[in-house]
Amino acid sequence: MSEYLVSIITLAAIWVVLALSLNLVTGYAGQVSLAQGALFGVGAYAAAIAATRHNVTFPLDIPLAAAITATAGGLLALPALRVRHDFLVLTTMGVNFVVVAIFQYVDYFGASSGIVGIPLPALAGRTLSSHEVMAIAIGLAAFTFVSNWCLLRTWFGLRMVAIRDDEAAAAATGISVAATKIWAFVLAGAYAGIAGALYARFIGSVFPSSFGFVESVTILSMVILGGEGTLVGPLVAAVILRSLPEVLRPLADWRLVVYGLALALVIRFQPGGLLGHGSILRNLFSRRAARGPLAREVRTQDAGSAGRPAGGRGGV
Amino acid sequence: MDLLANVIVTTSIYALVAVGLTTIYGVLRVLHIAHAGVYAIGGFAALLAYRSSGGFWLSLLAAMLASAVAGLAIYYGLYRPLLDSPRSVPLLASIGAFIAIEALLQRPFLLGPSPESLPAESGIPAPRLGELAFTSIQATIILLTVLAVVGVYLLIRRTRLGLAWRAITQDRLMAASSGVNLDTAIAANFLIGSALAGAAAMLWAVYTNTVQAIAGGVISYKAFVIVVLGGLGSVPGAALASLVLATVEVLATRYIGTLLPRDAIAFLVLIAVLMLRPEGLIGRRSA
Amino acid sequence: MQPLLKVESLTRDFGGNRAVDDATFRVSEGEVVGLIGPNGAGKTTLFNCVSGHLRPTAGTVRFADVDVTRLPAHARARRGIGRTFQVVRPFRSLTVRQQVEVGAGVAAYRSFLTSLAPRPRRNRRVDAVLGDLGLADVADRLVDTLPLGLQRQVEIARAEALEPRLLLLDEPGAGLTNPELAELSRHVRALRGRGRTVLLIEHAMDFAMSTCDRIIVLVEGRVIADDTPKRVQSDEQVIAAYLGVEDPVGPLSEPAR
Repeated sequence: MSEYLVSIITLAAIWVVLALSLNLVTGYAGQVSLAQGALFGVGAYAAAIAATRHNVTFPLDIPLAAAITATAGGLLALPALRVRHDFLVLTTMGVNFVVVAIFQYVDYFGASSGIVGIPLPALAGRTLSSHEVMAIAIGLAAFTFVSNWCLLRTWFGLRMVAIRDDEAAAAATGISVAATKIWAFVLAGAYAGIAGALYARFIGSVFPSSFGFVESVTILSMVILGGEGTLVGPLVAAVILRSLPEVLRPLADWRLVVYGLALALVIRFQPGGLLGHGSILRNLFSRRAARGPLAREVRTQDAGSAGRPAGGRGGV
Repeated sequence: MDLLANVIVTTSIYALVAVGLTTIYGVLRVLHIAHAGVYAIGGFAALLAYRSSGGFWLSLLAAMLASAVAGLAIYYGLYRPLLDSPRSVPLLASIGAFIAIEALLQRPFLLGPSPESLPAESGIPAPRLGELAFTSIQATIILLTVLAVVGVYLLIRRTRLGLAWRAITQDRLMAASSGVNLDTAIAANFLIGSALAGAAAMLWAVYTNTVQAIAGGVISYKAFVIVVLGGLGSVPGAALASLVLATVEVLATRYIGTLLPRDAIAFLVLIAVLMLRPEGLIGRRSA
Repeated sequence: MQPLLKVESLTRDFGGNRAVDDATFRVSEGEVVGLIGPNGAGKTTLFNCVSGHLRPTAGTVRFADVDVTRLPAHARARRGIGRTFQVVRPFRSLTVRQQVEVGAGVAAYRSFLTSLAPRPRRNRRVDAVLGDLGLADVADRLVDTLPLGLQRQVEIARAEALEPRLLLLDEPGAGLTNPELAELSRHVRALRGRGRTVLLIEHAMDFAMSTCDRIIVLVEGRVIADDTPKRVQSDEQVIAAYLGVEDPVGPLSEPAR
């Protein structure tokens, strides 16, 4: 396998983790956030600083970055307790901007020159090969998928969907809307931290521009294009969207144009997401894949239900 | 004193962009991120017109026209079919359009990646009010902004179209069932709001003597700050909030500018406002 | 009997508009109490103040001898105040069974850490509630696909799963057909049979009269009568209040059934 392919696969795996992390908050708990790129950055910077200045070795840096980013995620939840919908989008957009500005202007974070020279992961004194790092990345993506799959089968998973569907009804049923949102953001932060740490180790350097608005938009579009409230959807969308720039490489400078147009047009013609209800891909693939558990039993009955929101949101 | 002139001019530009955006948000309830693209297109059209004719007013007209067409295209092409989807869907479509427009304008055969100059002259004389001196372009900006903001305000308060907008802002379905032609009203709204963004793009480009493909992003983010600050859909609110943000920014840049860039300050203001007064500065508190 | 719910001098303003004005009443353990009044009388506002979805401007709400006025809605639900909504608010992407599981899960697994326990495939409590409310056959359907009568049963079931000590039903009969109303009435009486205390808002007057032990009449935010259905029906103030409004909510004199 060529180094180029290895790098594409490793990055795709990292972005699968990111997409699934935001999927908890947006797809399941219903809080649209445009700051997941910033959380990714917090994880990457945490790992970068730990590795270059405090000699934290792999794999300890991963739980460390996860813990720090989970805390940041908890802080990011605070706006979600005050504001909803578009206001939350605007606030998180602002948070992302401010976080990047802090990376960019504060010397501790290396300012605009970033942090470079992060050593590749090493185990038992031996530096891992890029193939091994790729295996670790795939392993972590699989861990994220499986742990989310389990999470959705817990009582907490049900609560996230309940607050997404109707906050007032959820509160009337005894769910603490605030606590549920905070924990969803904390978990999303933890996963984003894992992705960030892996990214910092794999690329070897971090720069403020890698965690900006476009990154947050990309993560959000993976969730929404994948079909909110499914697990497989965001995973597939992450792989496609992450590989797309590589496929589009011949287009060189046209890439962003095509990317933006593709985003707008896919959403325009498949508003339920690539794997949402009634989508082209959904009809091609087995219907089983796209939906969450339990809701499977529902399918026979809900096929004719017109009252469902067009987002193609699955149950738990 | 040039500080004061700076505040007034910045306020004007912000108000031009935000007044359009706030009425659009009012009737459509879509976070119209692509307004940034509409703005950038206005700047580009102004540059083309200026290069071919050299006239200030013709360039201004070209900018407004191009932006209006772009805004309408975005409404009919993207938002209208998605109005019944969850709100994150048109939002993402909007962001996609914004990214595409910005990237497209950066292609060398259009605007290119580097800034271009636009040294147009409006011909309006530079006034002097005691200590306070304005350049010609400053006076032009202020004059046009006052005209535009008052015009939109009167349009909303005094005309049938304005009444339709207010009805839609209150309740879209109710407005439709009481005989408001939603399509026409919303399209007119996009037309006017986008034309104002085009005018702002042209004026700011002349003022700073730069046209840039990426000029729309930052100013549109700030317009959102203003829309929220001023209370969604409120024109006087947007004007007042423009003043507040411009003042905070100009002063903060002068006194603590080394800490964080000016745009980050705008976002800190936004976050603070959203957290403390989610309904905006002068918006009413919902029960 | 012990008063389970004590509402004292409750007032709620919206801007300059007083929706609930100095309302005082009690509900005792095991009672089924009806709250009636013309449109705009403040019934739902009063409900929201009791369930915690609104904060009162003044006054207190005591539940089981604890002052809950400052508690948020979910904390009151956990203490035993369950409710339904006037316009049904189901969790749209959950099946009927899952809706009920939400309530049952909250009752059993309160904190975040305990809520990380996996949900069992079948839950006895959930099955029991579904059976009680006649929902067993539609347990795996989405609520949107059900007729309104069943949607209202689902909301009651969701609240029932919390094992509430007090159940607030906001116009459970609104928009229902006569057979659906009869079915509902049967379920409400069954709730009472299981010892549930119920406070319900009702527009269908005969339904309220035939189902409730006691009727509280709210007009322009004030409690103007609080008595047995029979005596409320002949109360002159109540009759005057109903005659005074343009659109009387229903025949007061003769229950249709």
